[in-house]
Amino acid sequence: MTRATTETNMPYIYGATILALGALFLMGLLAGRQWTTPEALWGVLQGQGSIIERVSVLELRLPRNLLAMLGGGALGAAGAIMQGVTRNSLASPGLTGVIAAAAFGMVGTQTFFTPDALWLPVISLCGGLLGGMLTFVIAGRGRLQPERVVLAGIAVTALCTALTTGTLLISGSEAAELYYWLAGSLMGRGWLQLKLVALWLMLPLLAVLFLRRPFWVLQFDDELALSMGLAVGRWRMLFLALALIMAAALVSVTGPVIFIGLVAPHIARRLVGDHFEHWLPLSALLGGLLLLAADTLARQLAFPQELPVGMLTALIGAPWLLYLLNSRGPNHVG
Amino acid sequence: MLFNPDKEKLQVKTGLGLWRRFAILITWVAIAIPALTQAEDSSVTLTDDRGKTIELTRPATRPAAISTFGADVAKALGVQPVAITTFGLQGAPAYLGPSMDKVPSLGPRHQPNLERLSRIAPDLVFAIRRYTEKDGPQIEAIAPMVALDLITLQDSLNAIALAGEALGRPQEAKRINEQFLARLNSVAARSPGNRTVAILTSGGETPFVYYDHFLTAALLEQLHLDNVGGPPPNPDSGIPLGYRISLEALLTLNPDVIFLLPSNRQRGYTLNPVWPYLQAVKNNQVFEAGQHWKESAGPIARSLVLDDMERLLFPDNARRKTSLR
Amino acid sequence: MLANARETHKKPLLQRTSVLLWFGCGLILLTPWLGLQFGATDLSWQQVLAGLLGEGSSHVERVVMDLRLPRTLIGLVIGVHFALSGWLLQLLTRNPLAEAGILGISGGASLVAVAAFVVGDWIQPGDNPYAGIPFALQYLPLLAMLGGLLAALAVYGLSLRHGGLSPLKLTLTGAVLAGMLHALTTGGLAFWGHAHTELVAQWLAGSLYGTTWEHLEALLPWTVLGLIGVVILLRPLSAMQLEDEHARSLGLHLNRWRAVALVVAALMAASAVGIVGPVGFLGLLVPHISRRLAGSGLVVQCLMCTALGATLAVVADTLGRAIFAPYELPVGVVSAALGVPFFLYLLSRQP
Repeated sequence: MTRATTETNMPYIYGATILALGALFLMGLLAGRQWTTPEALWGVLQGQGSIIERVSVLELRLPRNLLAMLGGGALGAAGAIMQGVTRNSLASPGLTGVIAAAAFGMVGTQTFFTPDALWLPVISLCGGLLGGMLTFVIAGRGRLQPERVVLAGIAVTALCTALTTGTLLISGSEAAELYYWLAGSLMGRGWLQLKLVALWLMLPLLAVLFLRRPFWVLQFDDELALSMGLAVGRWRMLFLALALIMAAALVSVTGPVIFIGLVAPHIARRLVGDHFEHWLPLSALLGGLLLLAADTLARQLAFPQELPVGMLTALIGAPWLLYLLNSRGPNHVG
Repeated sequence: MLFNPDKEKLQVKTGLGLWRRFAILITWVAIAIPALTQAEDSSVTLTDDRGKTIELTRPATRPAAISTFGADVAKALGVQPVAITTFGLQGAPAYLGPSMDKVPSLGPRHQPNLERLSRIAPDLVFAIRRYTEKDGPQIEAIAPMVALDLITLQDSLNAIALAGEALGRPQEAKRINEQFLARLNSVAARSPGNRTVAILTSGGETPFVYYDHFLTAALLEQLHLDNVGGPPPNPDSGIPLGYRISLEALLTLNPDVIFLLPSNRQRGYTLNPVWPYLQAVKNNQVFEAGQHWKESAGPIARSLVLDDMERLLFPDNARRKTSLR
Repeated sequence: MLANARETHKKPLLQRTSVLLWFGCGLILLTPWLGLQFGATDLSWQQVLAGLLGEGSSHVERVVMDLRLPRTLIGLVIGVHFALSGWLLQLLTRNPLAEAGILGISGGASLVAVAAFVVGDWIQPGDNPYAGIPFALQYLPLLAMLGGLLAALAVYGLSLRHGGLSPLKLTLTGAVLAGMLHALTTGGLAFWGHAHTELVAQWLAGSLYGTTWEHLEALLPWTVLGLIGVVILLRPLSAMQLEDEHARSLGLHLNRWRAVALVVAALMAASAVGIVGPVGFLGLLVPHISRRLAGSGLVVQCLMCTALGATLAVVADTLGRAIFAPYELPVGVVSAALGVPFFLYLLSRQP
């Protein structure tokens, strides 16, 4: 069915995704402790309405929606890159140890020091880069065999999780705080956090969207790519580095949010069929859509509290993946 | 109560002269009666918040504290604790003064070092109930333990009365409680009230707000201030102590006064653009409270908290020092 | 699939079986002394001996008999549990990085444990606020084991669906499930944990703190059962290392034996997780070292695993409680920290 997708279908797919994204975005602006009516929203956008309404919409919901969209987009793109470059349908920020390592960097630093908020993305990046590098070095030796990457990533994740848990024990009264952060949530994130990571997310995202062609070529066999004049090793490292930056930067503000980077590219792949060049942009869009949807849901389900969004993404993502593993049989995982 | 007639004295040898027997009897009575009454006096029976009965043959003189409360109440009653737990990585609570610095540490309250506790061999342990459910039996193998809830005002009053019994100073404990309540009432009588307050803790992006029953919030309520945290969902159990409040909800509740409990991290939510829109922030009514606001059940912490509140309500004529910043 | 089948054909570091056996015996005898001798309070060896013989002061006896001895023995036992479970799983999945945590078994146990605390609160909301906690603590081993077994069965069932059971698919399914369970555990703890966070977090880190003789009693039946299972499995396991076709031609019901091996591994890991919480690195590391020391003989590997697992667990625990006293580092963290350099070395040596 997906194979039948023709070039003429792509605009519809993009259109539907963007439409859904827009609708969710609007809903995200309206939903809250007290739902804002569309008329009131219009008023707010024109500078009217009560202070509470204005602040709720403009200072809380709007930046949070933007962060969810941008962050989800970055995760989706990062997942697509990792899957494409390593030709491994299970590679993702979560399964390559990047997210766990970034989280360990954050928890470790905040237990023993009180870093300025500005440094958080950098700390997270260092952790994520180290974790990602460790994974790829372990799996490495030139060619990145798909299973080896995942297996090494799982081991790095296990190690980082153990170390994080140990650090949490030492941090005593702050443990509950850090646990909350570790569950992954967009609660209370606003313009500040958005500003903090916007560049870290947007620059790599734009870069990979711009570099679609080398990415497309990297999907082929190394020999074929080489014959097409691509320095495979270098490009691969570049793409992986961009993916790591995006994933780790997001962790610094939201905490670990897993499975988005895994699921979005899979759905996108089904939708685009043979049109690989559309895979990356669509993954980014779908990633944004998924995280925005999960966050809106997380805000509403347990009022007046909020569910950690990482829980929801795991609940949505894992069954889908398990289904995928089953439906495709063991030989297609690579 | 637990009087066991001393066996040696009962085994009076037979075949003695009448006078001697009489004299011995007199002596025995003379010894036994005060011993009896004294034993009645010095043995202590306590019932802690688990409903467990703890019997001490005599009041404790070497208490260990697996809670800040234990150290606090011991100090207030004039007994030096022999071991205390530390709070996170910060060590002994500063408000108890330098006398606590020399007391050996047992580590964190949820994982007190049992080997050290055994070496120190206290004659009573004051513990927080929700942290000692797992290792309670092991602590009790070393020394009798009272496990206390320490959440509400009533918990605090009960716990101090109990500690008074345990340390052999029931009158003093009673006096401390009465004085505190009297002072609370007198401040409440003068309190203008009519303000809403929130007690926030957390170092992250989302503040945690306490329910009405949490001791410091309850004291504010007693002073006719309205805690925006609201009543707890299960008042009987006292847990949870509060909840994570979204900034949007906080903005809707818009408290007049905000207390921030200490955190060793930069508080993310105070950097949020919403923060300046809050009534309390606009009117410069945000206060940083000390560590004693977090575990305030002890007599010293409790009255320091009341100092802070009095100072806040009557900024002009308050005589007392305050920790509020 | 991956390197371990080949790795086992390498020359063992210690050649002769008798040397190995002496080495193992020495370790097993030495480590309990280590656990008894060191801790947060200083005791001389005479005092330790007196404590063991029941002649010490009440303090010495308490520390030796009630605190250090049960803790050391439990350390030995859980070391064996995690190591053998990891060894089985690595053989089963032909994946040198497999262990109970990575396959979701510890994750299932953890999630059920956190759920027990949350539900415990809900069951007893009445006038006795803490009734739920002892409930959760009392049934923790059993519940956690149930969770671990369920997760293992789920992994097995989900990997089985289409025809055969490939070791790689088993690993991947386990990894996905483990990821989900971990996220749910953290989320559950963050959202509902509130007042119990420190208590549950301590357990989740894998700690021997507060273990008693009762815990040992609860654990030992499973140890015996697991060891019997391992002994029974030894022969089928050696056949399972062959290619599937060869194994089938030997008349082996591959899937059935794989299921048995998985259940035994899950039982050993989950029962240990129920008592001390997840301790990941033991199961990962010990089988590696054992293979290098013992070569390809499964029996020798198995014995080596037992000795090394027990040793490493007790050493890690002893270090954890002696270094930062009165604070304690949980055994899970110390073993992870000890394991990292080893692990990197081993991985870099793989082809």
